[in-house]
Amino acid sequence: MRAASGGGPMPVGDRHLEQAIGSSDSVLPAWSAEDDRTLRAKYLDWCSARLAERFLAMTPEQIYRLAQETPSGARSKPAGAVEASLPDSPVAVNPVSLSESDSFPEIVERITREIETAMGLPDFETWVVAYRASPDQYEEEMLGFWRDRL
Amino acid sequence: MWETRAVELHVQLPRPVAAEVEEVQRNDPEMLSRMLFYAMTRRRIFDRLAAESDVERAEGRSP
Repeated sequence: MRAASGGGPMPVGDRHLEQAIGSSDSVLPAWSAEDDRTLRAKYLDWCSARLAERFLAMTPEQIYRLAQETPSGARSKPAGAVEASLPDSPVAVNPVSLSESDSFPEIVERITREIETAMGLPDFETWVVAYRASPDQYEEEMLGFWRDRL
Repeated sequence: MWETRAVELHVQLPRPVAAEVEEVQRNDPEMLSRMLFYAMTRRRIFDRLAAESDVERAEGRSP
């Protein structure tokens, strides 16, 4: 997944992550291939929590607008452009039903691709440093999907 | 946004959890809808991230 390395486009708002961003360039302790698989799966589970939280904070009108602006398969827009459509910046548009041809997976994919760019989620290595500093905090945000990846 | 329709589900849950779900369904059915919507959204996002990660690793773009 695309991820911010070091200084991403948006502050992460998490003490452990903010500390990790400054230290992830240093040499990380080695971990086994099995640990690597588990950590990567947990990282994706955690990222899905952050993205879903942002997705579900959007109003239907914001989702509709962003989905309409982001055709299927289109590349993400620059972070600043996307941010204007996210919850912190409500947009005034008329409520319109999405097309019947817009399936739920397609809508979620298009919207989360944009949210991901705007949020600047930490890259895997940065996240691992933060996770190891406070694993319980990060485990709380996971739903257990990561187990399906092992 | 989307038109809604009823969905009939049959799931197996531990008895104490099943009782709790039935109580929520009686008292706050909208809550169950929101819980399911949240879980399905999370699942879809996770699947997308996982598929993207697999492609990046296969192409050697991710360490």
